[in-house]
Amino acid sequence: MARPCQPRSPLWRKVLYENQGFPDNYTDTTFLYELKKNVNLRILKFSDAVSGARLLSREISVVALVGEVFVALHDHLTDPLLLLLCCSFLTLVGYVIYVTKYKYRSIFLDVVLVCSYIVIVTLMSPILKTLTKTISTDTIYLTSVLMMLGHLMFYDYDSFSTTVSKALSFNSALFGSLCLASRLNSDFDVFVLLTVAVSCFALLPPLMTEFGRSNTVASFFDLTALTGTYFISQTAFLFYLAELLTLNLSIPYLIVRWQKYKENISGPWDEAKPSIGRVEKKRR
Amino acid sequence: MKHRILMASDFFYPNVGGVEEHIYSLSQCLIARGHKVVVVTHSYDKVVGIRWLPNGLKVFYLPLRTFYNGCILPTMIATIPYIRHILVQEKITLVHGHAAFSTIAHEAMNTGRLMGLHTVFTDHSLFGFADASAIITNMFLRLSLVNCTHCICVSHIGKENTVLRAKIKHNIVSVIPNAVDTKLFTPEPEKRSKTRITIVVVCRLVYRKGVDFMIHIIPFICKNFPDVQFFIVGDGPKREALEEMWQKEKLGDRMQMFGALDLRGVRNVLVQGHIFLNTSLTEAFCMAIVEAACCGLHVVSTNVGGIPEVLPPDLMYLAEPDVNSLTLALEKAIIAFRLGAGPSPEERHEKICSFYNWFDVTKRTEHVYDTVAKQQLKPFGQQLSDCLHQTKVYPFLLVLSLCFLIIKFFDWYRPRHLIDIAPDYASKRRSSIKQNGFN
Repeated sequence: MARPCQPRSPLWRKVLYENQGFPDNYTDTTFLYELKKNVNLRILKFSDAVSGARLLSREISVVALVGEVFVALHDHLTDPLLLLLCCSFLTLVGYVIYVTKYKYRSIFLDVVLVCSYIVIVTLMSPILKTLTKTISTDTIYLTSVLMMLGHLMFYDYDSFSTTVSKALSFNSALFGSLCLASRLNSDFDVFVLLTVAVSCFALLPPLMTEFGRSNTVASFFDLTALTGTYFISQTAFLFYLAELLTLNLSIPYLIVRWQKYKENISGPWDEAKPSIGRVEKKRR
Repeated sequence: MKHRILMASDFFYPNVGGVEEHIYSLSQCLIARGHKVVVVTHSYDKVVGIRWLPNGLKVFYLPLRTFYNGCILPTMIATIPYIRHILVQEKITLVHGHAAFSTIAHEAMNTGRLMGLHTVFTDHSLFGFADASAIITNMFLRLSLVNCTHCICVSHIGKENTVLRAKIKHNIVSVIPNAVDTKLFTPEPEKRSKTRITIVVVCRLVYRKGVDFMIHIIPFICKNFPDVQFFIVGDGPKREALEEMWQKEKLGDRMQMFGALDLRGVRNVLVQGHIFLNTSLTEAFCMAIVEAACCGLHVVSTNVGGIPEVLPPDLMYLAEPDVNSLTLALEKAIIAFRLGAGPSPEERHEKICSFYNWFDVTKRTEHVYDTVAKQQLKPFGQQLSDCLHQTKVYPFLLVLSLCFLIIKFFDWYRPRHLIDIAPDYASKRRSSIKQNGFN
């Protein structure tokens, strides 16, 4: 600790090239003077943490919705046509919002795209249905769960994290849906499931990026997924409710509370971050 | 007081670098002052077994393969039989480990402690706290240094860093800088080019040495100063990037690359230079700038880590680690050189001679050894309880206990009184080292 009362007649300097007459293990009062703690620390407020958690919660709900559509088709809980119409209607609404509010796209080209999609997937449905038929159902379920987890891990929420990979997250989600599709009974069911999956994992993310941290959108998906689970099983409903509460309330609370343990020290020993700017054209 | 010292490190000749040079020079000076020194390191390709270096410096190249970054696999127990045998046969009284990354250093210190010897550790590098690898490395350092009797750091920044990383008391950490062989690094201004100003860079060509800066600075300086040329000594993964820049900017003979050279080769390039450029991003103690100043060059360096402590402002131009600041400092140095400002090469050499020499470093290290030797030894139980209370890493107690049992096993399997004691090397040349240097 510092001892200010002690007279230090020859002032110690932080240099190595001079023998200053101090013992080698002398520790000056300026020791660790340049130590900085928690530079650039941004204290998260509870509302910030919740709004961030809502993004994850929304994406989990999207995945859950696809899962629910699968269960509904598999167990014949609803009419597949009704599901297809609902999905198409919502996709259309989303498309209209996207085109009018955010980015203008050529409607003609998009119509061509939809038509070719319908033709290709209708033709491919019988193949897709039998593609993984020989693999055991448990393996299929495990694979799709892992793929969906992969989708959630690499999804581009709104962070600039290095783990984000749009291609990886889209592909793993679609692969997971394909695996599930092989357990369905008819070609039309496969077509419906794939259409739902494509609209959720390919068409939805750009729109969601535009919406950002919108509470309404997140709540819409959460509630839809929650209602869906209610019709499938009571247990699933309770678990899903618990998941939503934990994710949206408890975890943000813990994050905010545990911020006080954050102790990030930095000082002159840190590796300098090279700033490579253009060399300014200076006068000679 | 005469000591019998075991220097332990993964980094030693035939490798070249700051740590290697430090161990070698320190050992030579300690031998010259009448101590006994042996070095233990791992094998390098064909270099395995016992080798004798000049003046009776005995080096044990243990038959162990490197695992990562030039270090052996950290097992804590694999080196115990070797180290125990060496400690007994050479009648070692003190173990001195070098470099925080070196596995052999930590294992030898651990074995030495369990066999009732004092240990000294020299930390040569700086390390951050931010990422996961830093947290793990710092934890291991902490475990290793809990029972270490004394630490030596090469700069004041290094001391702050080590005290923070290993959470040890600051009064058991001494600051003893590196030195340079001033007999080797002498200025020779007549070898310099008369028509051109030569800027020399000597470093491993890696990211940490700031090669990215060079890629931006060199073309700019070449464009604005038609009489400037660059000499680059060193090799590494970033070499290709430099060569690409050289081709793209059509620098021709304005930039020459020499590859990796030994100390003498480095000196031969240094004496042809007028200005030395160092662009490191982090550095505990930069040997290169001292060697350059010792050869009489103007020094331009980034202001990072321990660098501002190493040379006084009249020998060095400091710059912030960014391209603009470095370019500005380099331009300043070129203009100062043209004007003939600052000390002459001989004056620079004299100054460095008065700042740094290995005999001074050795005396200060010897002082550390003397204080260490006077201290009470920690019995095994005390070591365990200190480790438990200071680090709270419970499983490590099991590791220490296992090491202790292995040593006990070898004491039974190969009793100490049956190990032949190695005769000491008697040298008449010892006194001659002082006059002629030790290379």
